[in-house]
Amino acid sequence: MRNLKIAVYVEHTPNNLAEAYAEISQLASITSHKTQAAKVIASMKTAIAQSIATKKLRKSSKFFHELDNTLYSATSSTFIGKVYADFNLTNIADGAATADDGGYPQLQSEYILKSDPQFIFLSDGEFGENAKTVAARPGWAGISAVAFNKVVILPSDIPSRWGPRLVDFYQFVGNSISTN
Amino acid sequence: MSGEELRSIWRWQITLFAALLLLVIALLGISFGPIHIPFTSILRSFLGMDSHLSEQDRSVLFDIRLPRVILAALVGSALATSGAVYQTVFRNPLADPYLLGAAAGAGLGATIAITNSHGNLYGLLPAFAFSGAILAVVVSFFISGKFFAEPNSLLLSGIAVGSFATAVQTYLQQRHSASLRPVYSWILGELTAASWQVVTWSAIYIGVALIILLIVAKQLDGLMLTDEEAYSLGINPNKIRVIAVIAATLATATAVAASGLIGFVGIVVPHLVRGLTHRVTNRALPTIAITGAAFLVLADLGARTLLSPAELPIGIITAFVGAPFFLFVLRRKRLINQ
Repeated sequence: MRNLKIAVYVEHTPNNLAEAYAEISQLASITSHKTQAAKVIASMKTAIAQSIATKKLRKSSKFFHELDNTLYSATSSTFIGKVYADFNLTNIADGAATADDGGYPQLQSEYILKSDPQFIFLSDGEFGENAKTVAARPGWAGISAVAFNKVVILPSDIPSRWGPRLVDFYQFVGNSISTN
Repeated sequence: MSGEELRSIWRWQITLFAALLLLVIALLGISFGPIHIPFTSILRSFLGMDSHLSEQDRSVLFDIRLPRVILAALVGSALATSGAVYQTVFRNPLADPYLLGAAAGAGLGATIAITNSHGNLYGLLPAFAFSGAILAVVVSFFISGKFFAEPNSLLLSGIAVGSFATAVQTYLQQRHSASLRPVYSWILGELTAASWQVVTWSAIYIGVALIILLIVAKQLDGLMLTDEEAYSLGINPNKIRVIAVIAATLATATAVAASGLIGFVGIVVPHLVRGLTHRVTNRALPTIAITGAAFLVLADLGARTLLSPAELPIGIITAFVGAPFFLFVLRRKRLINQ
């Protein structure tokens, strides 16, 4: 496209909030929407800060983020992992961080039982996973998150939008850990 | 056939040794995991003695480790035996259970189950993989037309059907990029889905297939002769070939449906057993089945422990061992032919 003299802008997946804000600013700068972008970023920062301030756990709780039912997960080095960390949640996948530089190791079922997470976030709900199917897995009924009904199905759309809709994800996680 | 003659063909001590090896490796398999369970407690538990295991330990032992070890053994025996049978039927030492498109067909079936828009077919993944594998082999037979009258024609049909299924699978993956991870994970092979339910249906299908193959093992040796010589011994070679391929395909399709695509077991194990014992006879099939079981249980132990508490796809382990072995067999065959 550059050879055809068509301007190209490629956005890489941001790795944290600062990079997400920077990308919004950059895009706004290119499209001459700097003022609007500043407002969007300011409102995002306020909403996210408010969500964290009101919902952050006083005492850390362990959680497991499930990408699929073969137990792939995301460590705290990923963007999604950082969102959970902002709420004082401890990621059990960090115990297997050395297995995958990209931050997405496949955990063993036995390790999840041993870790006994207080929350389980399912991003594979669209593939039929839910609290019932999780409880039916061998040994999983005894996990705290399952026993105390703290298995959360993540909306398939929200967790992968690293733009202004990040606020929705922060609010969803915050509400999930406070109301469950 | 007298006992002495039979002993000159195969020695039961070899089979017994393989069985003992499987037992030791299976014990290792159920002994290691992120949760430490004392070996004495495991033994006491299996012997029906008071083992003082907690509820969680019992669940880990009997609901996670044991079904997984048994499934690995079943899949390993199915793939190894099918590989040995394919090698005999096609008279090709490099033939493997996926030769007639079973792997690609199963891959397409699994991908359809994973990528369907509403996700309600995901639970049927094993059934889709199984159907895909069977269908691909049936289509290969149908296209080749004359069954084993022209084995090369059947092989080429298998390659063509496999390529077509892979092309459709790739197209579906491109259309549903969000499903790439589960598809990729399945392709690399996994025993994470092991449960007593999976073990039960796998054991039924694989058991039936292996029994059929063991029954025709003696006649399979006739396929190493010319067809005329086989007929003179009262063996109908084409009938035996069809029975053998159907049974081997049933075993392979079940293995693939239960555990994804685990490569090289069907090549490594038959050559290992035949190479170590210097016997090409299909009387070795029980030993090949047991050794295949031991090989995959050991590979799975590696998959669970090398990066623990993370999991390594078992297909990586078998390929890591199998690919160099495959090259070794290839080179050895070339040297023999020179």
